[in-house]
Amino acid sequence: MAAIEVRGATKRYGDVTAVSDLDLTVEEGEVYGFLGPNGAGKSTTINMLLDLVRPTAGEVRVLGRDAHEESVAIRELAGVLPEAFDIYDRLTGRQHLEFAVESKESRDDPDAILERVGLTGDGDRRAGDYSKGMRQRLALGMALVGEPELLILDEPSNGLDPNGAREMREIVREENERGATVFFSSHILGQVEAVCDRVGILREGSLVAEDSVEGLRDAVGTESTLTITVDAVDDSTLEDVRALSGVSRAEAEGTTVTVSCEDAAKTQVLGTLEEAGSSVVDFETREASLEDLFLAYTRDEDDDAPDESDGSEEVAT
Amino acid sequence: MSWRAIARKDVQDARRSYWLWGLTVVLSGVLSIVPVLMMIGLIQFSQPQDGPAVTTDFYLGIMLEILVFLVPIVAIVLAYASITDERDSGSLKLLLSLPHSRLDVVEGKTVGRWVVVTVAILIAFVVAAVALLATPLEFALGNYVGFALLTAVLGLAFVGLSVGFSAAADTSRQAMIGTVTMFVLFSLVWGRFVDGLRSLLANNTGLGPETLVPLDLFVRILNPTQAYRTLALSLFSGDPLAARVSLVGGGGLQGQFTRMGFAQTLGESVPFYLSDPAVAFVLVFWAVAIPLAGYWVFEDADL
Repeated sequence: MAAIEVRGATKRYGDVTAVSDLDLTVEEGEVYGFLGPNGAGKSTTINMLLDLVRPTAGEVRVLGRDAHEESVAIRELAGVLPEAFDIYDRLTGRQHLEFAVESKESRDDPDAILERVGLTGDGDRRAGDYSKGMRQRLALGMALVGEPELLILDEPSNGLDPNGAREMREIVREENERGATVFFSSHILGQVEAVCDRVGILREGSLVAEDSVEGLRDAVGTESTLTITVDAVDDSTLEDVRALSGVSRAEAEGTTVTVSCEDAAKTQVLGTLEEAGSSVVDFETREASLEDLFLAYTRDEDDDAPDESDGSEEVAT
Repeated sequence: MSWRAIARKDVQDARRSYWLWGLTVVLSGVLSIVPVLMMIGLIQFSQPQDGPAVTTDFYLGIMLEILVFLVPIVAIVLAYASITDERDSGSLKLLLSLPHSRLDVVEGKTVGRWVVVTVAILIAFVVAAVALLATPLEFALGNYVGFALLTAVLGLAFVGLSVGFSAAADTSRQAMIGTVTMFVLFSLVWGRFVDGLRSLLANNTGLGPETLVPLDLFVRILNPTQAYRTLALSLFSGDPLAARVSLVGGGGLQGQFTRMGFAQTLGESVPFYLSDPAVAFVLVFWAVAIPLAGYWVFEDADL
């Protein structure tokens, strides 16, 4: 049984299609990063998992149960951190957790959870006085109540500082080691990369890429970015560099030349520059990152996703 | 049973709400004005030497005409945004991230606000009772408690109505427009509507007063404010027939004639559908049915 199974799900709001014929499978026990820019349909998808929104077409199953018919049963077994939520201003942090414990008929100790999410000592304060990051921690704490089989976290790093985001990833890892499946969304790849077994990239309501982090890394190919400082460079030299096989891009700004190319072409690029009379002062190589790939998949101006078989595709930097 | 958790949380939340305590103070103040004015001598009053003593029923009769307006307003203010506020702010998402059904939410909110409005009303009656003990009025405890509870039931009916609209509406603004419209309908329009209906039927159908009189009264008591009023009058007088008929007609001689005509048509007693239990059922119906109707819309909404 898959933890999450979405088959051909479509959600339309009037003329706007938020999610279009989406297929998505999250296996039990994995950490799945659900990536995409804001407005790609991530939250709509998650809202369909939670029965907050009903699909126009398609089937949505969570933990083997129908997302609409058996929504309460699903939420008994799942911990959820929603997006664009608000806390109850007048209740204290502890009262929030007590409410979650009571709702889930769990025996968890609210104080232990407060400690786990870094709110020790803040439990008796009105949650209305909490900062955005503290509210996020509190909601994460509520999601953790009752040792859920599945954690659904929508943009869990929202409002967290880098340290908070790191602690959140740590909790995701711990929960996964305990045996929980984790499904979380983000518009920032860096937050997903380190903890995810698999990543899916959503764009305009459809999954445009899905693979393990390593797989995606391979898909980036062997392209690197060379940043070369020279004493001088002219346009014809740049033309020569662009003409080299394996080079997809070459630009100059003052005495800094930026070249995107396959690893094997690096030496040739430097040689060509020297031959044309531009002496190389310094150079730096940077391997294309997943971030580049993510941007390439999700950038608006470029409708074609990069294809790993074609090294000449431009990879945005 | 998870509505219990929601109701408890809702009450917990309301305990720290300025609105609740503000409105409790207003209700207490309004109920205490008359006894306080009597205490400090601005209203001169002493019990008559001969004849029966004047009881607190006299005071409650005056309060009735104020509370029939004020309690619906208090209930609407306390409940119209009960669900839309959570929807607007996003706390509903937090609530529904826990294993609660949407029916649990509507039930929990309804019960939570019932508790809140009942507490506000009963506190006001306790405060007023203390003030009344210091006046020369003879305290009629049974009717006082009965009237306080009846007033609380009026609160429940309008809380039910408000939560129902709050469940069905997309925004607090919509819910407010809906509940205020209902308030205006019940408090200002309903009586004229029934008058119009009766004369329309009298002029255009062959129906005689033996049909039109009970029909008129039945439509009248469907209005929760009038159901409350007539039950209170019945409580004071012990005469359901007079209490029903008193809902009809205006002031002056003409109103009196209309009422006499109604009483004559009905004869000795009221039919079962105009009896006190039937009228009480109307109040309970508003308290319970409208939240369920609101749920019916809420269940299908994208949140």
